[in-house]
Amino acid sequence: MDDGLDRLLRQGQLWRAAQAGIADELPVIATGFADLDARLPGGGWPRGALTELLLEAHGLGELGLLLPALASLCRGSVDEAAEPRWVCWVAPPFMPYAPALAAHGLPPERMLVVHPSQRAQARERAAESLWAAEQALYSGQCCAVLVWAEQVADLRLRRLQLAAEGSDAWAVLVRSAQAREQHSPAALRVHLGGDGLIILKCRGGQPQVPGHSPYPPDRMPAD
Amino acid sequence: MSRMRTTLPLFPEEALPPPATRSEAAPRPQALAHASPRASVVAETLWLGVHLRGSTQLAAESGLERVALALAQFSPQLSLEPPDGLVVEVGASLRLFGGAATLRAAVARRLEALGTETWLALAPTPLAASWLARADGGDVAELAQLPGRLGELPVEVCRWPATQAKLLQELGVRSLADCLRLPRDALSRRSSPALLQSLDRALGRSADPRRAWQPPAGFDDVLALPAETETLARLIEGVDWLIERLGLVLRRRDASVHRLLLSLCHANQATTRVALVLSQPSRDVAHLQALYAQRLERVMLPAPVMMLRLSVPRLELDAAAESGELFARRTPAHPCAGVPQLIERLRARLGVSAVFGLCLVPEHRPENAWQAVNSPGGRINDAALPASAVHRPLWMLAEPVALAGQGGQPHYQGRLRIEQGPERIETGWWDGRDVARDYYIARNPPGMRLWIYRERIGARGWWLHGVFG
Repeated sequence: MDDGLDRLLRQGQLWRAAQAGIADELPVIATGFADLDARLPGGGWPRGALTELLLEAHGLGELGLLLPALASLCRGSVDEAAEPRWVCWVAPPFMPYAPALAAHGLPPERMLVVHPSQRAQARERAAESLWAAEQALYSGQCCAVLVWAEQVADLRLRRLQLAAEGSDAWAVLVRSAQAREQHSPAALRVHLGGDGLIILKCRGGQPQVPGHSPYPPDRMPAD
Repeated sequence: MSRMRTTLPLFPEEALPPPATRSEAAPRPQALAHASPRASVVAETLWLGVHLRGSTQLAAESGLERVALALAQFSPQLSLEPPDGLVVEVGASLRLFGGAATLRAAVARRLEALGTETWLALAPTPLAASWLARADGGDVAELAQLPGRLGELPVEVCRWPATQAKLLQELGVRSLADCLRLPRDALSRRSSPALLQSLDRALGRSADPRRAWQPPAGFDDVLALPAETETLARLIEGVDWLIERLGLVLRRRDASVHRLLLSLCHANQATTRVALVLSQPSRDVAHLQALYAQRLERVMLPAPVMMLRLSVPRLELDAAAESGELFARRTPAHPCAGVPQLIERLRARLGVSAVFGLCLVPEHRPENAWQAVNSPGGRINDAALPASAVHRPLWMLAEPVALAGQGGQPHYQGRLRIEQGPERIETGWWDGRDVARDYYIARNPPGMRLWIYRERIGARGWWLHGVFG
């Protein structure tokens, strides 16, 4: 009995609210922002789990927030002897601009962009997008999967989280901040607004410092 | 090998060995049945003859080719005996399949699975195997046993031309034993050389060179459904069966497929066609089946389907296309792992244009500095990145959006405050898309950082071109 409990605790599936430090062993990827790292359990974005990013509007610096970690994932996979892995963009609101990505250390030839049909209803498109993201996660070929979707059904969200758990990739779902009240199985939920960033939920511990942290930070990320 | 022989000799005498002496010729003419010094010209081989029973009409059409395809896994040396037979050289495959008896049983199972009724026979020469199979005459292991065992067969199994058959009938020849008893020179005078040659070949006294059967260059197969159906599961079953068949061809040819076309034929409607183009050639049956299942889910059928037809115009003969890796680095988490397979799965459901990669183009106009590529990952471009790339937005709009301006100031969800600029980008006269723009970085009241430009020619309007993510 104790063994089973220990195992769950070790895996981060279960945690004691009093013990915040238990999550140190979770696989993470550093965000590139020291402040944010310090506030996230394990010291970075969780790998093999779903991160949910809730935006008040597009263009608030959400990509800037994700880029340092994406770049280090791409760099990491280049160093390995193994086949380099991919970053999959599912249904982005605009076109990721290759020269700017390259300037930030993301090799354009490792980007895979998936655009489900624009004609479909938002709900159908969300279903398609999440299906595509699941496929990308299951393939094991992507080091990060970013998916933009609105009106996501709970069941789909749960499936996405399961797909993320089955991989070692960093899965990010970007949604509008209106979904803030919806229940979510995501391991980490982050709200990004004009006045900064709030960690709504994180696995393996409570958000240490409740409330806003300034974002975008004034200084450039420690690269 | 140890099966019961069911054919009985026509007359009791024929079962006896041929008489030792014959009365007529003084220098004893060499009877055909006797071993000749040339017996050793044939290498040690073992042939499996297959005779298709039942409707010869069916056998003559695609039936024989179907059987040939199915048996191709047992040996590459395969030769057709139209209209209803074929022979397979199995001597080289015996060790692989664990002996003649096991192999024979495996072939019988394979043929049974195809739904064909056949007679099989093993013999050291192809012609003998073919003749024995036609008469269901049992197996012969040794070259030396051939004259005796072939002798039991009626001459009809040889299917000699009608004139020869008539001649032999007039000579009173009923079985091959009768024929072999005839003196060689007398027979060669009175019959065609082809007859003697085929006897020599059957007995292994002269070589029987055969051109190995080559399967058709493409693939085209039809499945008539037992009943008209619209049910997806039934259709997928049918397509899976066709792809299994395609898989056999691919294995036989050591080939892959790149483009496939599935036609769904209806009773009174135009045929529905479902094409599949792979991002790279594949021979993975399970993968192809999964892709077509995905595609069929989205096909709108105008009417029930009567018949399925799968055709591949060209097989890609690229042996290196997909050899399995001996020591796979990463255990795939999914049966269809790999980026090309992922792309195909996505495309099968979302459409070809929905999935693409990115690449850089050395070009100063921002909208031309990148390109969507159809086969992602193929090209790694190390085009020198201009220093300006750092100041470019991460999000580009597909088309610039005109901004409402009030008093010369651009608005986008509120009045824009210019933070940086201008950066002048102009010309492009060589391809007719001349530009003359001043770019600025601006921020709007909600806090979005935008990349906007003002045209320097024409209406001098403001446009939104990018968003700094």
